[in-house]
Amino acid sequence: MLPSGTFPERYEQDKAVIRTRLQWGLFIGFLVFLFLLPVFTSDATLGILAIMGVFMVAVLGLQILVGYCGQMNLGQSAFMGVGGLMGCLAAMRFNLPVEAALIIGGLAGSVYGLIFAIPAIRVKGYYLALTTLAAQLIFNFVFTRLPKEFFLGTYGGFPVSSPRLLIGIQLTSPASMYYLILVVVVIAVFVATNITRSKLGRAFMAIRDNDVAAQVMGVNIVFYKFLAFSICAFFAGVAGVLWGYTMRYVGVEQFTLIHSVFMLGMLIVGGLGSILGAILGTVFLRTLQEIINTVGPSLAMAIPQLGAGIIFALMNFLVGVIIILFLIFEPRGLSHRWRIFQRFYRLWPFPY
Amino acid sequence: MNKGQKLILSAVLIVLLFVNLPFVSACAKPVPQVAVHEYIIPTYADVTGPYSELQPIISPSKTLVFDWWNENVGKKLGVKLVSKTYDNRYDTAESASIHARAVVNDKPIAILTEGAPGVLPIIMKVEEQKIVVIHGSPGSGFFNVTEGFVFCPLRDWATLATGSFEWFCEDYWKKPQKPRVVLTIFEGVAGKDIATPILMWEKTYPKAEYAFNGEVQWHPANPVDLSGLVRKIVEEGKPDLISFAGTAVGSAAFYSAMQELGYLHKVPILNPPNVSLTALSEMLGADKLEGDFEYNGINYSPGTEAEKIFMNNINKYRPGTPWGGIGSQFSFQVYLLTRAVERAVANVGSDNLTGQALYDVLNKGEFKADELYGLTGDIKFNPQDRLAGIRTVYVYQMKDGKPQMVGQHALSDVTLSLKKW
Repeated sequence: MLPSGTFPERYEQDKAVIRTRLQWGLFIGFLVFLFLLPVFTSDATLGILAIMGVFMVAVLGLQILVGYCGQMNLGQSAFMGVGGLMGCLAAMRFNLPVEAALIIGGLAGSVYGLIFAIPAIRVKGYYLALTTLAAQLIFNFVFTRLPKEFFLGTYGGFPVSSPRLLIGIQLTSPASMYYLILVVVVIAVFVATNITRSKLGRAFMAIRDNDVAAQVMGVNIVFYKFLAFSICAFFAGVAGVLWGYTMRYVGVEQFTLIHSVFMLGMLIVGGLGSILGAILGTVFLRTLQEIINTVGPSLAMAIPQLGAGIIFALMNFLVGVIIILFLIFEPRGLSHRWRIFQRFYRLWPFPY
Repeated sequence: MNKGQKLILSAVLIVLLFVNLPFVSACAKPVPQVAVHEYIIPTYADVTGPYSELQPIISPSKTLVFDWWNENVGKKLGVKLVSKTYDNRYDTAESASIHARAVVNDKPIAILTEGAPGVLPIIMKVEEQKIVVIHGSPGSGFFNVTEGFVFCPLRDWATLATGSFEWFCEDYWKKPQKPRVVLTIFEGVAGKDIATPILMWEKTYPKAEYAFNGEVQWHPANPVDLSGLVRKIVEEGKPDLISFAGTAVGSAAFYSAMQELGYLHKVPILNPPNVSLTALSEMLGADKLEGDFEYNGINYSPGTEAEKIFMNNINKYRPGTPWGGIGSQFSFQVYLLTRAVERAVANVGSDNLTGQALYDVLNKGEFKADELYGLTGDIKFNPQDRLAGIRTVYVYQMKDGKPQMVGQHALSDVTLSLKKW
């Protein structure tokens, strides 16, 4: 629903995401706020936001594949791992700038993702989920068996130095890492949003809704499924490189199946088939996790008789309950709730 | 005095009481002789993850040492170390996230870590942040950063394991033929990091025979059933000793398979320090472990000063917590930290303690056995080798339901994980 008084007169206006001056003002204001955040917030918050940003990039990729193209994926963490290991390895070995590492990582993830697009031509749903699960297992199997010379002298992982920009600036502080990740997130959101609004996105959605019907209409489903997997894995690969630079260490055991499941959880909580949903879901679940990380240690110090084990278990249980309640009362995700709020705001004071 | 006057008088008295309360309580308190400076020491522990079942032993064992030291030593020095536990769920992403928070909120001078995921995301960062990390369990090759801020006083797994194999071959078995050893390790990067130097060591150590041509038998990190593996290694390998390195879950599955197939107590099992005989007897019952072994970098025999402190205080924390392999390892982590703090205070004073000050005393430091409450022999750190630390491995055997030390062996000065084979 458009804000009252908005009448597009040209196709460009009709297709625009941001339509009114107020929306432009709010959007630019929000970006300025994000860029000014390091001035008035602590390094701890920046560190947390950085990790949130890394997950956001991977979840955006997953949204394109799962939410828009309807292809199940339980191997996102493995795609992230391949991208992270290869991108950071190239950067460390050849002293490359972070921009190159991001592209190499993205491409490596993309190539690995393409391999698992092959089964998607024939299978879907639960069966496809199982084949993407193999991506996780093969990733662990192969990368733990590579010789240590491959990983700069250690098995399955290596320390990563601080990223260097193409213009020579070394990003060492938490604020500089935050800016790097913020820029990548902004680009990722821009690209993902425009993919979903283009011919490509419409083809993905046609495949998601009914792949037979899509094929009848002339959509080359093999090509588009390959493309969806490779885009998804590219995003994951970029996220993997950012992960390596954020952690300052990248290793096979950091990319587990539980992370893939957690990212799917972010999608579901945020809302499938919505870029905003991917963002909101990531923010929501990471924030819950951060609440545990903040409140748990303080509670454990305040009530030592209860024991840290019980406190942390209770906190995790509480988070689980919140997610379950959320899915019961808002199964279409946070993005749907946001749309309801938007509509309410625009129609107010009328009830409908 | 009428009712209104009484009311006003009572109100005035109550106000006076509240106003004077801080003053009165300040007068009642004994004036501290030394100003006490508090330092928060975060621990990145797996409280709700795959090693959570060990936490009821680890947590009170550490808290006890902090409290004991604050009361008996810290007060005199003017230092109070406040322990703060963070749950990283054995996950590097969580560790990175809590580290970002802990550094700002707690301003730590030192961090205690309990598993590899707690260390991996902070190895490079702590060097820039000047925060010392003392790792509580044996380390891996990838922890080693020359002049780094991560210290692994309990060396690395491969050095400890091969030290104990040497003891078996040279001191335990007195039979003419060479003993046959089967090595089974969990799959993964850490498992590979342990296995590779051990296999290289085997090639240079002629006093034992190795089943399966010296190959490692891999098992999943969190297995459900290991009966196939057990049947293979016992029937085909015909071992004199099975060295099992795995998680707590892995050990439980391994012992279960040994029992089901009737091999239990027929072939001795050598357990690693992360799943010590003490913790295993809590999980499986001591009778299943009778005759089996454990290697550990810690001397947890009865009679040490650390054991006495533990026994005198543990009932205040969690009555019934056993003294043994796991609790003593992580007590030692705190004891070492306190010794470093004591030295640093002597250098810079109690109000100027920093991570750098702790680093300076640990970096080239040597700690004598009598300083370490009887838990280890001498410790010598090496700036070029962060996996240098203890010099002796202790071997324990379960006898009459209790682990008892049966031998010790001097460790190689060269860290196996780092040796150029």
